[in-house]
Amino acid sequence: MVFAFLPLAIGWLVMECLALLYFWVGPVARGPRPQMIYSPNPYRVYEHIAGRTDESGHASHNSQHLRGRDFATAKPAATVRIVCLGGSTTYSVGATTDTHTYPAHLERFLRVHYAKAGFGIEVINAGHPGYTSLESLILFQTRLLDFSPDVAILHNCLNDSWMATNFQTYASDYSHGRHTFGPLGPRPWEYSPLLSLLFARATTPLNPYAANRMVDLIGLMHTRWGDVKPLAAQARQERTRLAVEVLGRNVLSFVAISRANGVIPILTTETASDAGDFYSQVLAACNDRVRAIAAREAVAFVDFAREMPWNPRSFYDVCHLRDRPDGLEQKGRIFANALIGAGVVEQAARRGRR
Amino acid sequence: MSPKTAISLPKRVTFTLVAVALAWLCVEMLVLVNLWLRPWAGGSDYPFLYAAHPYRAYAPVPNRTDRARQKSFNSLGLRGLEIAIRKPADTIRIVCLGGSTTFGDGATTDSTTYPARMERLLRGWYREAPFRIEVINAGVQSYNSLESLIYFQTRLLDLSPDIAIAHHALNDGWFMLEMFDFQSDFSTARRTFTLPPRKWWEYSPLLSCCFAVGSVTNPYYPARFVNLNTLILTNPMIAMDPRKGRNGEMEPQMVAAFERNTRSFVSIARANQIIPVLSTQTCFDDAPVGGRWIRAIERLNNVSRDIAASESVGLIDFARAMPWNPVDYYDPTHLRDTLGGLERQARLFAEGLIAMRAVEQVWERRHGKKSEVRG
Repeated sequence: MVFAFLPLAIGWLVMECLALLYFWVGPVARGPRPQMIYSPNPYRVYEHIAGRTDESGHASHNSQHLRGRDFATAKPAATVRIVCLGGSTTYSVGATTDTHTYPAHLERFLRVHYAKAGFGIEVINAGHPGYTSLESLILFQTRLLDFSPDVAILHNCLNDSWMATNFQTYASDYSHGRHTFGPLGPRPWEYSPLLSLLFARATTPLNPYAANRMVDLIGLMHTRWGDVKPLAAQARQERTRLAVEVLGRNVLSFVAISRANGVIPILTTETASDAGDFYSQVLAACNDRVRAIAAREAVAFVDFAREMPWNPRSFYDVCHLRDRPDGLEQKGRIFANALIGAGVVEQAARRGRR
Repeated sequence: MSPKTAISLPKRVTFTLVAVALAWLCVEMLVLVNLWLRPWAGGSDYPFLYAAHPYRAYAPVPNRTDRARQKSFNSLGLRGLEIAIRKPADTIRIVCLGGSTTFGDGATTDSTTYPARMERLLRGWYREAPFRIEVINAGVQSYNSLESLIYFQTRLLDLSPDIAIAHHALNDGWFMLEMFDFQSDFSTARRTFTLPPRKWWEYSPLLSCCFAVGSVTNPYYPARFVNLNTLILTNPMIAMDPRKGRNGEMEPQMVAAFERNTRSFVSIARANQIIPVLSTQTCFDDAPVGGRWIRAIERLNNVSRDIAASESVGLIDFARAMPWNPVDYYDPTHLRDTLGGLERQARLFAEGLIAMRAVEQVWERRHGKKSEVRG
């Protein structure tokens, strides 16, 4: 009995050592070790970890857990503070540095335009990849109002449409797809180098030997997605109606909360390539709802979807802009021109003086 | 006489180990048998009644009833009877938001909470009216003003309510006074509902008997002394032992956070054609021991009063109408299930709504004419 188990145990141990050796000197050891840049948040699934930079070194997060350089919670005197809310298109995943995001470009354009106006401009990038209008709304209510913003730009439609089309079911609080952020720690069996090697696809991003790079942010905060049976025409109509209703009410609440707190709200539409599929239909309907709310509530509006339609030169995928003059910089210019045209910066500065 | 046989060291070690192992096993068995034979002392319901939620930290699990059969959640996760998501025609729907004082911690059945009693009182008052009153208990134990606000935005608006009553101050006050490093989003104090993984030694009845008294996951001692706070706070020890808390005073930024949540509730309600109603909360008067709590809750109550006055929102000043007394309250904040307790709370709220003509306003708004409703 003993002699039967002893060789087995020694054999296992040797294989564990070989697997460990592979992790130490193999190709995994040569690449940079990624840091987890997200942490759970009880009210909006996840937030960025303050002071951490992503693996590529392109995006860093300040002490306020937001992309870009640090800023004080208390707004400096004679400053117009603008917060940009949204998902990855606001966070600007295509930007190669924090200074090439659309909010950073917007800040530069506005500073040049108002160089002699007697007040400063500060634009805060509050975009979080994956955030829907609901998460943006909660972020606005729970954290961004602490910064006393004067203007708030809401740039959400894409992720709301994605949540409506990538799951078999639908719930107005998006609990049909989102779950609390995790798992954040390795599973017990992942401490075995051999098992980690054999079952590499099932490991977590925090495996002690090799982070699983196949599990991305989407994998960490969603239940099973993408595996959707095509909906019948009537079900599609109903799903579109629901998605538009939910987005509409989040947008309406954003406008109401902004105004109740003395913040000027700005609404926007979003651009994506038109594949003629269900997703494109829902997105078009969501954009239409935002247009209607902006008109009805007399809110300043940037119709980005019409101002910058999808084209392969500026966009590198379905919806994300390239880091080039006719990409993110052009977006910054369009937003700056819209704000200047609507006179919201002057209006905010006047309010601030009062 | 045969010479004494010498036992080799490995054998001695083996026999000792086997003897110790057998003894251990016997004790484990004895403890297990003892646990089986002992009458069931009950375990905490909370790990069974609540689950993690991506936007509200935790939420009631639909269609669950507690072991004592005192509280049950319907298919929408609300305490009380089943309701349709789509509001029936000619129904005026009132949602009651709040924490345990709305949920009805002291209520012995779902039909004796303050929202359930208020529904009966209002139905009695408007019995000849051409509409039906439906009151929804949207209180969730331990929810603060922020969590109720998110709940309101994400789920309760689906129910197309006509009137929404916010009943908050106590849980916000508790977070503000006792939790360290206050953040306006309560994120330093609140965490997503999580059951910790079971520790290896918790599989042993003997070790569990010795060490697992407060564990949530132990199969032999199932969380008998664990309350909800253990599962939803970053530092649950503060809930168990008040001496471990901050023991501070209310700071201006704390009051500002409560004000902002209350204002946003009013704005969201109005943006969705819902009549908002604010209310104050009653707290045990701790003036003889410094008055820290009564001062703090009064400051938050004053925020509700000020917003109600400045925004022309209906107010039910419950703190003044029903101050703390040892007959009606069974602890510093919760009412007994008696006529002078929860029934009186319901009557005060019903009278408040009747006095501000909230129900008539809804009817007038819906039908575009001066109401002929008679109570």
